[in-house]
Amino acid sequence: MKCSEIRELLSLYIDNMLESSLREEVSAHIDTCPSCRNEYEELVSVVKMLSELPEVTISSDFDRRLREALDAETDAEKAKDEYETVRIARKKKIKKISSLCAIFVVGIFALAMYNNIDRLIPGNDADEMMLSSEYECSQNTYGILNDVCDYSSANGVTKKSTVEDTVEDTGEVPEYRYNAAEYGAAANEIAPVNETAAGAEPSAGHENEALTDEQSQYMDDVLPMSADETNPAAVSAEGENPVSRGADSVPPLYVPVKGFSVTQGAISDARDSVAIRYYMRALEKALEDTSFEILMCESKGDGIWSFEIDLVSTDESGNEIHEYVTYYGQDGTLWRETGTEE
Amino acid sequence: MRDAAEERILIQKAAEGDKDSFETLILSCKDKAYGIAFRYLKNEEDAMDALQESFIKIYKGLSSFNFESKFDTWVYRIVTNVCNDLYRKNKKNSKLVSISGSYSSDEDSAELDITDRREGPEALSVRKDESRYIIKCLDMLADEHREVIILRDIKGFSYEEISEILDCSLGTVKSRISRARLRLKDIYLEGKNKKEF
Repeated sequence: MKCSEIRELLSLYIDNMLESSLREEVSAHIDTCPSCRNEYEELVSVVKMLSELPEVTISSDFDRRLREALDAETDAEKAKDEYETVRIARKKKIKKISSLCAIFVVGIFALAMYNNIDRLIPGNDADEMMLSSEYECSQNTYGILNDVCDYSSANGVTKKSTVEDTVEDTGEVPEYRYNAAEYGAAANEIAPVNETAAGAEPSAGHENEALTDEQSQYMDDVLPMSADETNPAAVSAEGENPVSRGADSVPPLYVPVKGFSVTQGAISDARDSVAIRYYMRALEKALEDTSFEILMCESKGDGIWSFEIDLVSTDESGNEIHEYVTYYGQDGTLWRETGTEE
Repeated sequence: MRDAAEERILIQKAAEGDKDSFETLILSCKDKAYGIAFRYLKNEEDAMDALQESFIKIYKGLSSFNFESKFDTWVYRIVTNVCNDLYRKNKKNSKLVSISGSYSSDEDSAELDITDRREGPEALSVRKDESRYIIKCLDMLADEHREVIILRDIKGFSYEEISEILDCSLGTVKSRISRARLRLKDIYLEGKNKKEF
């Protein structure tokens, strides 16, 4: 073994902490190696010196002093505990009061929120909420739905089956709002009104069913109308916030509307505007080859709307010819009044 | 020596606030504990303070004594820790004493407590100088080295006891003692050699 290794083991050797084989190795090495032996002897003397340091006795005073200190400690502990109890009790009281206050404040806040909830929802108006709350539809409206579907299918979008199935199965159409959005999208694809005359008749052979409020509500909801489809100027003339159905910006109608006024029945403004917009679109479609102006729009009650139209055309000599007709809308169907041509 | 059961009863009572039981409990380790404190802090007053602080800590912590070690060992551990802290605090405040410098008078008075009068006055004074000197050397050791020297060579604790007191492995204790002694020896001789020149 090297001297450096032996050096490390000397202390253990002195204290008899080495196992026998190592002990003998160290012992043999020390006998033969003078420097290691020297090291060993120096260590032994230092250890001896340390062990011979005088014992110090503790002062007799210590016991008394310790007892006094302990007594003082326990008294301090007692006082601290009492103080703590009072402090905790006070804290609890404060906590109670402050939590009550917090509840009170939260309650007031919640109440305020609740009362103003409609104003708080962004981009919303009260009418939207009214519409959304009425979801029911009956088997009767299925007929109306057909027409609606036909209308949109003419534009290349078939939604018929989806809505039919749902209505038949459950009597409710929970997804129709989404359908309306889809319809809205479909509506975007509608080409601008064609100015050439073609004088199409509105769909005939339609059963003229009496619309209940419920049904008209449903129809209105389902109709693929979006605010963007209509002439923004027309709608804003009513001073209303158009109900958005999810369709993105759409090119406005090319139909100028003059003197647009609506006489109101008991039906809400929003619903009216939806119906009006629907019929206006229907009119466009019906009169796609003709240039026309809507002079007046009136609610006749029972969900019937009348539209006084001025059909404008040019004769051979370039003069403007006006033909005044009245169209009626009900159940989502548009038809022309007969016998009022001038 | 009291047995484990007896000790347990005393601990129980003391934990419940029986100060007399506590006094009995610490009787066996009091002196040794003081010895550690004294060697650590080098003067009587500091050692007394450290001891008092230690015993108050022990008294308060009796309820959490988990019987993992002997009671005495636990006492020594606390004393060692308290002394360590106090020592470091003192070191910051006091000036460093060089190896050739003089001791404070406190040190002298403590050493006068030597009960061994077998040797003549000359030998005694030599011895006093020697002990004074070696204690100075001790002061120059690193903290963990000085600690094991005090416990092993001055107070005579076994390697196992030291590992319990210091809460470290036996291997650590062995290597620390070895290095501490070698280092102390080197310091001792270095100083001695300088003096001789």
